[in-house]
Amino acid sequence: MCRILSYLGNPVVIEEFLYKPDNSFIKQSYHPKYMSHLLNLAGFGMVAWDKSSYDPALPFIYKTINLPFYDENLKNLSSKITPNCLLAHLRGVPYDDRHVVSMQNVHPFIFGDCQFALAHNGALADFELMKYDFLEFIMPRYAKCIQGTTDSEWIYAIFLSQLSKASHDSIVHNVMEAIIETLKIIKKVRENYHVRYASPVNLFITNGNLIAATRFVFDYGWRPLDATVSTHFAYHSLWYTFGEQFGFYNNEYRMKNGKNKSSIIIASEPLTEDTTTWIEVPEYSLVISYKEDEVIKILSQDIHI
Amino acid sequence: MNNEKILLLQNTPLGKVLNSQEIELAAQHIALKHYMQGEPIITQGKKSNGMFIICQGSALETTKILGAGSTNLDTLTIGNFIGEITIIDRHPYTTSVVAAEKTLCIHLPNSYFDMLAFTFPEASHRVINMIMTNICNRLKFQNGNILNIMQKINITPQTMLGQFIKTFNKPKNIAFSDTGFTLNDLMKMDFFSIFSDVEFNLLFEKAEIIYAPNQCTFITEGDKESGCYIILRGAVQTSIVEDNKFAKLCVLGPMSLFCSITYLLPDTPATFNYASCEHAILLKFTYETMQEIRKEYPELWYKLFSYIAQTFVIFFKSAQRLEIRLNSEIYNG
Repeated sequence: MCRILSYLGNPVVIEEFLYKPDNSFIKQSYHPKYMSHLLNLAGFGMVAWDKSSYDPALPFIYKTINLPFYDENLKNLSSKITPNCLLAHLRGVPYDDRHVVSMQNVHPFIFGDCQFALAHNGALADFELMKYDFLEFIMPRYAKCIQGTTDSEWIYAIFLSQLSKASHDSIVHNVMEAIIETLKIIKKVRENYHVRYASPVNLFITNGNLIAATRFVFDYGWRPLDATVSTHFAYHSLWYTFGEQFGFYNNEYRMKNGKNKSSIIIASEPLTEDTTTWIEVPEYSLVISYKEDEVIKILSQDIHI
Repeated sequence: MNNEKILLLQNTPLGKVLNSQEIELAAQHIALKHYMQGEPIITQGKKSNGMFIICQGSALETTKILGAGSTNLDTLTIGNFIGEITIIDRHPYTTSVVAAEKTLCIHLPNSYFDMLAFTFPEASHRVINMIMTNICNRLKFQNGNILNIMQKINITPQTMLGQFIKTFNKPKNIAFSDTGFTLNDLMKMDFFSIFSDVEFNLLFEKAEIIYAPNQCTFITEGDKESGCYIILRGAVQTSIVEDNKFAKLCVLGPMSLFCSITYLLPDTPATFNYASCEHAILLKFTYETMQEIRKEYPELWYKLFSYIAQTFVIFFKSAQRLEIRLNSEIYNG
């Protein structure tokens, strides 16, 4: 299981998310509040869009398989970069040598010249059994970009392929439709292989101008009776907070409550011990946030597939 | 000092549900706390150390709400409870309460309630029942607020097909062997560990075991005398429904118990809709069976009631979140 953080809003120096709060993102790698049984030690990655940077449509990308709390380079970069959009991921895998820890498996995934990046919290049961059936739904130009061994990268490739087919005028609705179609494809392949056990799919998708996130599990509440306790049997959490600006106000880290709702954080868990100004996204939901006339809009939709 | 505590306790709502012996026992465990104007009694987000009852003075209750900042909720006066929800779920306080003037409170620590549940379960049940009546009345009020909001905003109603599926899908009785569990497996689970062997066997003797496909409705808003369910596998979605528009409240997963609010507020029909959101296997206790358990097996009833209380605290908090979300999001538009 993993931890994910996404942000859209006014520029904020990244260390305000990664290091400073009392449940900072980096702290969640070794002391997550909303996850039991697993630490997130299999890699850290982030993509960040900064409108003031050279070629602002191209994000900063940083990935490492080093432990992030010992990473001096990350600490330094975090104290300098002030993006308006960020997607960061801490990878957590079971302590088992069947799991590959490598740069190719670090999220977020962002192929070549694709606009969109994706990070995933969860795991598809029996993925190895199903994966080549997914090829039917992945365009060849995305299939050849898959480099790692994760289910997440394949989900990304399916999403991009569905997005290429979407035909609404609005990018927001195209993204929503592509996400739903991706989940429907996964469901169909699971049915073909009679895969019936709980598989969380919390996706975070962004292009620097919008963030979409799902809180979803296939077959929640079903697990093998002889299975040992696993983090994937719980319904993975998803929270958000919004306001004018995230920072240190009145002796605590929180969103400043100003006139304008101009920034939003969507994350696996709150960045602070005090969660009173965070809202938990309901189960089986898709949330998408974007700016319209400098104000954050939040669309949420129940997922019925 | 104890006499003072006894006198004060007798004049609180606790005095109505505890007998004189139980009041004397409580007096040994409580503390009297004095607060100056402006002094915090409880703070939102902080770990619970029990509940308080105001004996003299008054206090202002506020909460930080996402998108609205710090919001005044209520002025609490003599006899009002503070922090009582945390007795049920032991989560951090959800509001802040500050003395509005010089105020005297009785502090009932969590340890008192633990002792009471272990040593005097009947008295504990009466106290929890009293707290839950208070919480459920607030939940009814909140439900009304949410229904008002739902009338005004644009939520896509359920399709005709969706309605048809929910009517068509019915649960069916299955044998225990079809659940995939053994009784030993279940006995070891935390949910069932609070029951004695006798109580555990009684539960399975009294229950129907049912399999429900996805989108199967168990309890509809307005139902009276509906059953009580324990989810063994799968999940159930609770929703608030207004004019065929559904707003999701929360999902209950394996080893959760649910029922309608009737078990806490006897004359109140079900306020929520409960339907499977995954295919599911459940234990079902009919309304009549639950009345039988209440009458004939009180110790078992108290334990089931503690789970009912926990579930309705979850609903209460989910309803608070839903209200905030309906005011902040474009939901199912």
